[in-house]
Amino acid sequence: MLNEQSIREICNRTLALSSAPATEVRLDTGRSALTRLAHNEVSESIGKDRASLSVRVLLGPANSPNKVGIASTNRLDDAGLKAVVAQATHAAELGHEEPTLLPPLGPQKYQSVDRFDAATAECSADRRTAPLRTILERCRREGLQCAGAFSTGAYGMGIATSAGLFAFHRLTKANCSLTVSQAEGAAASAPTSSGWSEQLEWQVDRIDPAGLAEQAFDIARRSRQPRPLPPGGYTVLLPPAAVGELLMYLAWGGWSTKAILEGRSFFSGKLGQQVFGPNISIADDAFFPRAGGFPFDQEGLPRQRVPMIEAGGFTNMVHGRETARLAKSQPTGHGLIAPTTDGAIPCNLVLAPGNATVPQMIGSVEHGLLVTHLHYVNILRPTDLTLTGMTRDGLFLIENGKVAGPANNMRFTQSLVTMLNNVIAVGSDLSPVPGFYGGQFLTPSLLVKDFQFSSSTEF
Amino acid sequence: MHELQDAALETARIRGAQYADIRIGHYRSESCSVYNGAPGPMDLDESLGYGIRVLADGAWGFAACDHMDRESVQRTAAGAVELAKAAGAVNSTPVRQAEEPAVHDFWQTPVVIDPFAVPLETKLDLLYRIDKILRADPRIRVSTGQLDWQRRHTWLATWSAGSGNSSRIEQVRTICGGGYTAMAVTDGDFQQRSFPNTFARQSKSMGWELIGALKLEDNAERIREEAIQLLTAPPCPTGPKDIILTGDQMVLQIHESVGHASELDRVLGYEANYAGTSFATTEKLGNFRYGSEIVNLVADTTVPTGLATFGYDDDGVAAQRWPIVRDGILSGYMTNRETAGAISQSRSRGCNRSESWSAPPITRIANLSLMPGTWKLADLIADTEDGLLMSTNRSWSIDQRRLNFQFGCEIGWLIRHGKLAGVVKNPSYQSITPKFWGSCDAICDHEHWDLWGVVNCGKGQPTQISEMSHGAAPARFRGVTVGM
Repeated sequence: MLNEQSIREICNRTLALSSAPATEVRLDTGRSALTRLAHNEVSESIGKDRASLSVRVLLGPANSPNKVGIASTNRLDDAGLKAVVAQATHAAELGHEEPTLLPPLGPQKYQSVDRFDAATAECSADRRTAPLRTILERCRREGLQCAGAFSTGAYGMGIATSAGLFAFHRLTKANCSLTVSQAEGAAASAPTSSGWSEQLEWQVDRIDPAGLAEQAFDIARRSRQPRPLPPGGYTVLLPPAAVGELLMYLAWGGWSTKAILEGRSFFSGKLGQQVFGPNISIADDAFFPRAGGFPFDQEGLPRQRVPMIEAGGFTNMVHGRETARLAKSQPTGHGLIAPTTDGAIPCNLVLAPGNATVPQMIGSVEHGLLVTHLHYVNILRPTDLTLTGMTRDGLFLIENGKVAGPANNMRFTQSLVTMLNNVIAVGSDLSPVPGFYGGQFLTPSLLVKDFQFSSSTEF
Repeated sequence: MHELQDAALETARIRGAQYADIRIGHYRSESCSVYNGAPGPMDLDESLGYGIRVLADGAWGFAACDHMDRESVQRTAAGAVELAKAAGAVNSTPVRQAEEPAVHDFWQTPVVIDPFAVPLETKLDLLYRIDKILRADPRIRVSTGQLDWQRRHTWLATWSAGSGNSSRIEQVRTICGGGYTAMAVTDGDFQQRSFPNTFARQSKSMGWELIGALKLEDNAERIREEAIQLLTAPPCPTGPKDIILTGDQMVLQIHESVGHASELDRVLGYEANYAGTSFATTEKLGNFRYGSEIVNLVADTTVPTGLATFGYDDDGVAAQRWPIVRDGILSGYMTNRETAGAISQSRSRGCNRSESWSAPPITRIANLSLMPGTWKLADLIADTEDGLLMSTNRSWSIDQRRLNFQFGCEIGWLIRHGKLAGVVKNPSYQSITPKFWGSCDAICDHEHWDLWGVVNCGKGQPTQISEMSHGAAPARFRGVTVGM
């Protein structure tokens, strides 16, 4: 992977090749590897090393450009750089005038955040495979099926402009997820139960494959012979993986700043209003421990912590420079490369934890459901953020404060807005789940009343 | 290219591989867009690199790099062998590939008008004209339009210790696409209409001649008016209805409930940790009733203009046409050289594809089409007593074994006593796959049939995006639950 010095040198060479009044250069680089499991074997073993250079040329007066062209390439030799600058310039020349473009950023100061781990960046295939061997052997021995993925990688991004900006950040990521399934018989169509677990870290040494396997084994064992339940409203305990999946749609479907400004979001016109229950507080915070992600946005503007929901009130939205100007507000360092259809989105949501432990929350439920994670979630109605999706790899009935047995997976059709007004308890646990643009979300478990399941499936 | 390929294959052989291939890719893609009358960035992308895949100690290894020199190629090939050997050290069953004859060939998409030669001004002017029509009514708060075109030039070379065979295949695929969306906004509601299809696009393996054939500008006024009409339309009713899905929604129905379910790698558990498995397990092949007797779904990587139309897949297997559902019975799967043996087939169906040179190939849905029936759409509507006509997908979700699905569309029309009886907003329907296809009692004829492109099919870890086409005409399904 390219280091900071190489990235700076390539960015500077590219800027020097441009004769446009204003030019921005962004260089993304990454070295990633993955060990993938299926049917108790390593099914894929992958390593890749790549870089991508994007050049954004702005024409017109340097302080108020009115034409933009973008070109990208992975050819970083002189000929490649010359060609990509020429292409971006050509594209800008052909474009129609866009009077709302902003000039490139000058030098910025960034909050320091260190989430780069050399051991993770250099993790070998043997290092990933070694802890998986015992798990695979146990599955073969016990007639279980294991599938999974263990990935490690290092990523860097540099942004430079003709106005003197140079931003650089690098980070590492490690992610392991395992699915263990158990068939009731030898036939291919035999009923099968499954369990799942996942861990995200920026240090590979913190990943605990054996612990993850135990969780997946346990869920698979307990989810055998599920019974169908009628659709309807249930009190449901959603673990961080499930809450994180739903937050993705809140961030993308609800908090796309342009959608809010254009009246296409539930949050349009609701700034300052109570939108969720008083036990819900959500901030976008790239600097929160274990949050991951970059300390600047795609334009190179420093990210700020933005409290978006405070005690259920919609207090702030995120902005890049483009949307801040439209909204007559201040940018918060959440811009995408302008012009864009989203403008800005939060990438590092943190849902503030509460005081309840998972056993306490289960103990408080008279009749409800415990979810493992969700599958194929999508927005059905954007106006009230009604989502639909399936439960997966273990759904359990809770009765009289105890987990009473497995249930067939069910489809939910639920407004996210209603759900976040129906939270009975917020967990004290806080786990990282995937976010946007290299970021991670952090979320606790939530206990939610009257969560709507609309149909069930056959397993 | 051949020198680099030889260096890769030779390094893999010396390091102990039993099989090796190197796929060099040179991709060019360009797009232009207009958002509310303002130009989006002219986006031009070029990418050149290679992926080297080996079988060593019975396991796969794959390494990719974009340094186009001999030393880097040799280092990457050695890295791929190392990755494979790390996997082989824990595996109990060696990978076996179905035999495939060696081939030396060149294939390319037939193109009438080179999309890269069409002036950008011509492309933008079309988008501006459409934007003007869409935003002629202020209730259209947002209009977006996009055109994109790409060319993928690949060079595949394979070597196998067992057969001694080596293939060299060069392919040039050209894809064009485009479309637009009108978003109507009023207090508390937001509705959209897209043309020609969801994500504001139709894409085909064609040159720029596709864009003229789409009649984009001719449909803009209708799309604008439908978006506005939806703002004041009543909501979709709830309960069982006979539904007619237009071709653009049938695409998604075929893709999710048959395409993914018939990927043999999913059936065998390769995707169990992410995309999921399939209810269409192998003992059902040839005997499971997937749909009614009029349901015939054919996979075809030779069909002209399909997004999964090619000369050879990334295993070097030639394009083919075969049944997936014949007369309503499950009759085939999407396979690659690794999985074909699991259903006792001596040859792969050629479905192994990767999203780029930097990713290993995985089993992908081929072009998969519902064969046309005999109905005219007007006759089908006239024959429906209490129903709903639905068009253009807006939302989709299906369980991990491809049984329980729930799809939403952009627009619906009530059908009462054989006549269209007004627009409804937020139409949706839900069912279980074999039950749903079993309720299909009418399919429109070839005059209503078109091949629709899907450009956002995600699968694999890390996720790869691929594309394919599905041909369909409107079809009717009886007694389906609507209005979630």
